[in-house]
Amino acid sequence: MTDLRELQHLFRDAVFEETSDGPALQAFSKLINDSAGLSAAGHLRIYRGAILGTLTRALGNIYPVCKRLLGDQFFDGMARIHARNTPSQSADLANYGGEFGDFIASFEPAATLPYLADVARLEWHWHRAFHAADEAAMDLAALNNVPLADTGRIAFRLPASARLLDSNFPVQKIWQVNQDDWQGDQDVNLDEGDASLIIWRKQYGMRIDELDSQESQLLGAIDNGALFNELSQPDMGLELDTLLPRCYQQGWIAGFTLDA
Amino acid sequence: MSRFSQATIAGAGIGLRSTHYQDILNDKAAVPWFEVLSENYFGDGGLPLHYLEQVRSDYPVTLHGVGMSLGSTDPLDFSYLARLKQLAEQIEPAWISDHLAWISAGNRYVHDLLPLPYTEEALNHFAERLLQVQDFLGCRLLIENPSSYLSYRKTDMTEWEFLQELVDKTDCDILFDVNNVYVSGTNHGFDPIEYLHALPVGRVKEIHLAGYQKHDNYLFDTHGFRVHPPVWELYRATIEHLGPVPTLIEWDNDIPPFEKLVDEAGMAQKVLDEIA
Amino acid sequence: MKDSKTLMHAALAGVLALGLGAASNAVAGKAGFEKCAGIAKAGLNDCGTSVHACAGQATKDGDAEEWLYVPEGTCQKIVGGTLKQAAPPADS
Repeated sequence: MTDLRELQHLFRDAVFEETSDGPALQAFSKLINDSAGLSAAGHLRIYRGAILGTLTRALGNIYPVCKRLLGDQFFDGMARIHARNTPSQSADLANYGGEFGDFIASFEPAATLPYLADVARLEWHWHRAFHAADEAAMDLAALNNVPLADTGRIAFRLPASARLLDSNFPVQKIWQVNQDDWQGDQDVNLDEGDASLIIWRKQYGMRIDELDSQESQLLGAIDNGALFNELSQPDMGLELDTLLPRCYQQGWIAGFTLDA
Repeated sequence: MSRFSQATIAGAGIGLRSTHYQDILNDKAAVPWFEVLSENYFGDGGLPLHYLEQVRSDYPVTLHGVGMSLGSTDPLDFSYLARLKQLAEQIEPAWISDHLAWISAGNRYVHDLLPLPYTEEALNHFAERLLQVQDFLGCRLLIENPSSYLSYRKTDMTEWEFLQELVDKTDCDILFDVNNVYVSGTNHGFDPIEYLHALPVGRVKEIHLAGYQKHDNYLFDTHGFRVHPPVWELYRATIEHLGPVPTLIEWDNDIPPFEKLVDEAGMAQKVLDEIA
Repeated sequence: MKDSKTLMHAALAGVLALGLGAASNAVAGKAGFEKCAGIAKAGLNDCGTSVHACAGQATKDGDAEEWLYVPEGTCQKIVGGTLKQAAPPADS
């Protein structure tokens, strides 16, 4: 199997190496035919263009707000660098691009836009929520039947689609004014403040909700696996008697299990 | 032939795309069947699966994948195959297809169908994996000929000989993409008619049609245009040779209004009707 | 300060009082944003069966060109935040 394996790895390296006449491409060119119109390297460059184009376009589909903020040229150039440096490890292209926010945070030409990485993280959560599992209503009868002595061992959980995001910037506002159907002007003042958000899907409706500090603290603790008993400790400072019903009513608490 | 469904696939169908859900469901479109891009429904839930279930309740469907990477020397991805099997059990396709290609090396996916060298080594490798997958899924697969933009110096056989051998070794069926044969034939200088006449008649269960894009010395399979006249001509010859094989219109770049696809499928149906 | 047990029981009672189906009712006064975005969201894997329309036109082919671009999109409408500027990456 060595020949086929070597050929495929060389093809891959030639596609993703930095320049279009690098060592992998030159080595790979020796394995393929010239044709009337194109050199061997020219044939390989078709695949380079197609593959990087497909990955760049996928990132543009997942991160439309970042693309709108930056303009097509800047975004596509940045996405192309990311696509070359960050392998896709799944056959499903919808799984690609989760590291883009962290990449943006370290991408020097974008450093003048300090909010951009968080906008990207918001868009990734949105993308994942779109494809996440559907939720049934929480089983309140089962909750009611939990023996009193076991109450502290209840582990609530967020909807499968839900992701929490804290940002120093009003990223939900930036996101909202850059939607296709937004009617107003697109001005945003970063001094409008920071944001604690939950990005999730309520049946088939995609939602971004702003959380106050109590909600954010509670949902964050639940997301980290805290048990009911821990949530109710005085040093947590949570007004659970009103907070828990409120979060449940919003749909942010979707179920529970009993910790063993 | 498939354990998932006994649904009849006949006539000229259309590739299901998300932009057309409303047209299809609201207007009860008169389309005989739809082909579903498997990986677009690999999510755990949400609207794509919701719409697919609705389309499925009104129309027979087939599953067409790009992710099996049968030609790759990476290990078979059984989590991928398990997800595919689960989707097949849920929506009961008439059959499942994927490509004569590889899409990953060293677990890096390129999301493009890369050509194999048509060697004995590649044939044995591909056949062995295809047998494993057919065993795992419990059904025969259709394997589609890809468009290609390069050819390898070291080959032992033509692409059509490779396909013939594959059918012999694995008992698979063939998805014959007429546009791809035209594109590859132009790019590599072989005669599509010779390819067509080498196909095992009766093994071709589905045909694909799409539009290519012409560049300087090359044709690109962009699925972004109407089917071009020489491809229609080759399609007619194909149906004359193989009989009325179910045919699919594919369109993936600059996807037009649904009516235009219906119109395109109507042209294929006309050829099928004339020759049947 | 309520003790832990009292707090848990009051919280549970509050949830149970809302009853089944409460979670799907609209809750007034909450800042949030809901969108039925699904219809327009394209299946990303469609392109796997075809070459990207721009392939071959990419004459530069993504060589390690100098970075020549400046952001030209709607980011120009975002102002303020001078106190929140992130520190530049350490390696810059």
